[in-house]
Amino acid sequence: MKQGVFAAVMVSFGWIFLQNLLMFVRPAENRFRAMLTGYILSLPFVFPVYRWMAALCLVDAGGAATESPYMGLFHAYFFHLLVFFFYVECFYHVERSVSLRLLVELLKQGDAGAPLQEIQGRYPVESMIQQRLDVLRDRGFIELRRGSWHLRFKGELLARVTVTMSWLFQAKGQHERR
Amino acid sequence: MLLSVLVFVLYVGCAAVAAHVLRPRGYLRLFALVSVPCGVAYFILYAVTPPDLYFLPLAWTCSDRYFDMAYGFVVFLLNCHNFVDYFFATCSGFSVSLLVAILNAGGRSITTADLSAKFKLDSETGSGRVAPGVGPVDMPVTPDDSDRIYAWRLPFLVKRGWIQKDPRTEHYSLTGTGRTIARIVHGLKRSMNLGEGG
Repeated sequence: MKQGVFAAVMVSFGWIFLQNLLMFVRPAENRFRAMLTGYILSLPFVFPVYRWMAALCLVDAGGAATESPYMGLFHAYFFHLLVFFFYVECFYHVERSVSLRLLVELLKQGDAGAPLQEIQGRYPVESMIQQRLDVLRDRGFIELRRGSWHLRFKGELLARVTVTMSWLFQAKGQHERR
Repeated sequence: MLLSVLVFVLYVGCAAVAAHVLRPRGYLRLFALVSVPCGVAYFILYAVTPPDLYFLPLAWTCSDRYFDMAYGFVVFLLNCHNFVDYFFATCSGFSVSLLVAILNAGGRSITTADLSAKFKLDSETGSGRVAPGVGPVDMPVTPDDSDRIYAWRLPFLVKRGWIQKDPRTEHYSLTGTGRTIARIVHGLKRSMNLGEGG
């Protein structure tokens, strides 16, 4: 199992590092697709790394003789998947968070800071909404018909799952908050 | 790992029940509080159950008990993170809020201007607003706080101690903690070749 977990960590760090490096050479417009592609392309490497680690005895596998190698491999792929999810989530925290964007905007302002109106002016709600609507349309969640927005299948499915989740946890969406 | 998955399912169930019973204002706090007894439950369950859980073949169990326990706990934490992140991305997410607003329109025409209007607040004075994921932000609402994005967010960031408001100039600026976080985020954005985002 140890070998599987360490193989997953090594391959994950490898592909994430290479993918971020590649983004400087050829930035992807759809970063999620780029991350998914990176993950899928890294899948074939998990097995050889797992095998090499066993062959080179890179991990102290004392007592591992009783373990099934298939279980080690299962854990390698399972942990590799969990690290992928974790990376994607962290990526979106950094990329999409309005609060973090606000902090960066204030960092650029220096010690003097900025009044609310200036912050709103630099990043108005209207442009946040327009930016997100454009992304949702490009990703096939919504469509614009005669100036009116309509949900496509993917968007309706996600919206309904969200309504159910909101009911389950008694939560409110951003458009319902004060 | 099986125990870890079992405890995670228990965690989601407990969080849902707690949300219904307590009707929390701060979901992040709720999820964090629920995860503590569930984490303890994982370690207790691990200690009192045999490695084979009474049914697993020996070859399917990990030979290193401590590593197995730590690995299961990490898997539990990663699953919790997945769940909490999914919750905030959907129930609190800006983009998904737009989808829900379109769904709630029920086929009626909804333009970009209509959607923008849904994120506007009427000018009001008062207190008792809620920062999603964190809880009530009992700071006065000024007529300038005219939208649902900034109205809760700025007082929330002040409450967290990341930004401060100069009462004389009414300017918002970063605190020491806020500056550190902003620098880390700015560095991460640059290292991933990202734009301003947000």
